Amino acid sequence: MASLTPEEVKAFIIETLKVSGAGYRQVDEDLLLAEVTVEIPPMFFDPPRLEKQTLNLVFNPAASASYPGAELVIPGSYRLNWFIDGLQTRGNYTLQRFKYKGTAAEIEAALGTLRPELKEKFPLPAPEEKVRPFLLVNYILSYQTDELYEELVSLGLDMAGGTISPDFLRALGEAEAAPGPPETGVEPPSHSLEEAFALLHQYLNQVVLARDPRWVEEARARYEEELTCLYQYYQEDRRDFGIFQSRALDLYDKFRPRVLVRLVNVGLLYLPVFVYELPEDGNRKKALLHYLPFLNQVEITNTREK
Amino acid sequence: MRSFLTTQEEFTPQLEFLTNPAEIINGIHRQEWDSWAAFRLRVRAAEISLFTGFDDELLIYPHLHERWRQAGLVPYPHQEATVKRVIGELRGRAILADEVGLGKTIEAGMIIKEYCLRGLAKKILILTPASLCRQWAAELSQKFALYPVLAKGDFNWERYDLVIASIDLAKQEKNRKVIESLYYDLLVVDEAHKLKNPSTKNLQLVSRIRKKFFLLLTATPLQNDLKELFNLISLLRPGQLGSYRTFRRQFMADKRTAKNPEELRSLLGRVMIRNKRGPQINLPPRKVATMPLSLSPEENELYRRVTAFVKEEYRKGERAGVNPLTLITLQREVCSSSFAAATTLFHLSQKAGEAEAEKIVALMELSGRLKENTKMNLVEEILRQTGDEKVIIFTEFLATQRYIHARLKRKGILSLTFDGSMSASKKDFTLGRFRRDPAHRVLICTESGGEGVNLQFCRTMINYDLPWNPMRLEQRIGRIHRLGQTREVYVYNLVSRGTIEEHLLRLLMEKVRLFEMVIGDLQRIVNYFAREKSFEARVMGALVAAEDEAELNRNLERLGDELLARLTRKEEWSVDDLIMPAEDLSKTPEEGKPESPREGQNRGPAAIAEQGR
Repeated sequence: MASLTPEEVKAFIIETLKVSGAGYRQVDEDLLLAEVTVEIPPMFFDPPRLEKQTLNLVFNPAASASYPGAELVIPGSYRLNWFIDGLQTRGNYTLQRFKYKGTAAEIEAALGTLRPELKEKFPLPAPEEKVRPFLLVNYILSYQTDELYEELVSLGLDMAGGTISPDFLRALGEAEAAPGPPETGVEPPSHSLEEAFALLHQYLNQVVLARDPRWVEEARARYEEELTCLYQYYQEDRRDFGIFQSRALDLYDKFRPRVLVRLVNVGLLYLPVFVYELPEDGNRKKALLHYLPFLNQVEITNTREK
Repeated sequence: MRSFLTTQEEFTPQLEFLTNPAEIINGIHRQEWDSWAAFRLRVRAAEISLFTGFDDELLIYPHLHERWRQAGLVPYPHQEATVKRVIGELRGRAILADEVGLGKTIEAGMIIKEYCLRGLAKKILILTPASLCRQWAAELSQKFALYPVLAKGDFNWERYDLVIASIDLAKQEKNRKVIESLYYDLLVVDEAHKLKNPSTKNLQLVSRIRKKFFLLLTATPLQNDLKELFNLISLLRPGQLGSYRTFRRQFMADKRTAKNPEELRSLLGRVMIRNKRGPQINLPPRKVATMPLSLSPEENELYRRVTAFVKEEYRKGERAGVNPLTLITLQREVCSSSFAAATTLFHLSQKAGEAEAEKIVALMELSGRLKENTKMNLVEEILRQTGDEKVIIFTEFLATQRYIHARLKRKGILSLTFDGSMSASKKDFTLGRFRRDPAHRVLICTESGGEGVNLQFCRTMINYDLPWNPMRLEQRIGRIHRLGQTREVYVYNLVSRGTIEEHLLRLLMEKVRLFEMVIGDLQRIVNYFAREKSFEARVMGALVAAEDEAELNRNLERLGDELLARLTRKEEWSVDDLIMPAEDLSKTPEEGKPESPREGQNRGPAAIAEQGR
């Protein structure tokens, strides 16, 4: 489980309480009172029911002794897992549109950094504001041998252009989202959802292959050592060869590298694109410049040599 | 040595997509949209739950900090070091072979929890003797917030992830088949020395269970011979010691004598962890007092006549009308109480021929006339002197247990009985009551009842009778003299003058210095007695061959000399010799000699011993 500071755990719990609409009160720096609704399972003749409970939560192990009866919420604790489990039914799908609120000058400054050669063309004519659909999919990759390592991979697929951007959710940062699709200006998608997932799966394959191979090599060395050891036991008795094979297979199952891919959630997001028409210049013809501010990305199309 | 090299293809990572895109696409079409905040929070929850691999810090410490604080549990440094080593260097396969009372169960609990927290173990099976199942369940739930299911009856093995089962239940045909078809992330076997024989169903079952991580717990990994050690290690990691033929050639001079000990020690050290009492792991001192008492003339007569009968029958050898084992039992019983002897005499009278029956009935009548035993006077005196202290009385015989219980009741002292025939729930209830109810300050326990039970909240023990095998005596004391014991431990051995017990105790205390081996190599002597199955018969032989007490004394002296010679033979290896560094082998028991009882103490056993004379 990831290591988190008490402050990070507290922030997560407060956010969870807010999203679920539960009441809470920060009594002091350490103690948080939360009013939550819990499901009481059926017992004997009583049907399941919902019940309001007040939780006394502390987040710092050093402070827990000062609040007898309060629950210590730390990574791995029952209560933190309870909140995490409770979120399983939330946030699976979302449909959001994003509005960029930067000024024209801020956009030009960003473009100047990305493409310094454009600076001589400033100020640019007013852009056309369009919206591009993206499919954001968050995955957990579990790298398994006899050991385990997990990472979260957040991929954004440009449904119009087909490119995939890693770490997509982080790129959006604290951008303000509004629910629902935009009414106008949406660039038409060039991929179906089926094609989109196929592209994402291909991309994940590449992510895994590009990973530092030590996790596989080390597991392989351990496996070979174990297998050699096992062989020492069975080498002299041919009658036991069947048992040796079955045990060797068990060993292989323990050490072979597998990457389990679990999907966390999916978002259909509409991100703003500013489209600039660049004038003819020397030996270049007119071109279209697409700027995606949230991804800090520039695309120039229709560029031809004269 | 052949080495196995794998192909690149075998070790190319395979991606396994656990979510079907079609289901996700359906979800999108259903348009069950949630808020952006909920979406991000869901990702954050996933991020928090990630297992980010191995590092040196154990996750159990922050996780169980509060629980352990409330329970007053502070893991010892050797326990933390053991957990780190098992999870790291030993890759989750180890024999935890700590000496009795040093907290193997706690170590195993810490390892189980750590693996659970790291996401590496979900399906876990713990196999223990039936009598320890509930104790394991209580330890795991109270100390580790793990909530196992106890397997019983028609159990659904597939359904539950964390299961505690008795090995006898698990090996039943219908259960065995199901268990062998499953794959366990972690298998734990307690009292693993019971797996040393490869032809038993126990070992075959454990060997066939498919498992990723594997812990074997035993305080006595090496008892009878080196082959048993080989079997245990090979069960854990087949090939660690090669094939048996290789092992025999490389490491066995004979079945009890190792050769190439340095190399063997190195191989064992890679799979076995043994923590011993010593400067790093200190227990409070134990004080042992011998409490001699004089039998009443009637008791003396019973002892004398039963002993004469036993000797006479024993000397007859194969012509005897009574089984020699029964005769040994009868001799031990008459040392315990007249009531214990009466039970066996009654059974013998039912089966004996006419000539023997007459004698046996006479002895039975004699024992029947004894309504009280002198030993109980001494017990009452000890109880009076120990005030409100909880006291455990150990006896080998149920009849003696019943008598002690009844006699204490008559004296207004409430006591509880504890024996092997009790159900697990009744045992739990009895121990709980003994621990919590101040009115019940005495627990009368038989050998089989006390096996594996932790009673360290109590520090006073009375051995009402002495087992002839000192290993059992050590196991009794280990119930209270173990980690978690914070106070001095008092052990009172009641011995009737002029009986074989008196001579035997002198042998063990003065010659073998058994009770002084608190820190020294007690394991060596315990191992010796564990493998000398005939030791009781040797004692009996000494008794039968003696015409009088002086001769009995001489016979037992000779037995003691022989025993000492065997114990000091350098080629006689104990497991500690094989897994401890060589410099530690030079330690003598004298170095671990405990503080002797101070004279003139009001509370100490020495003072009471004086009064008992």
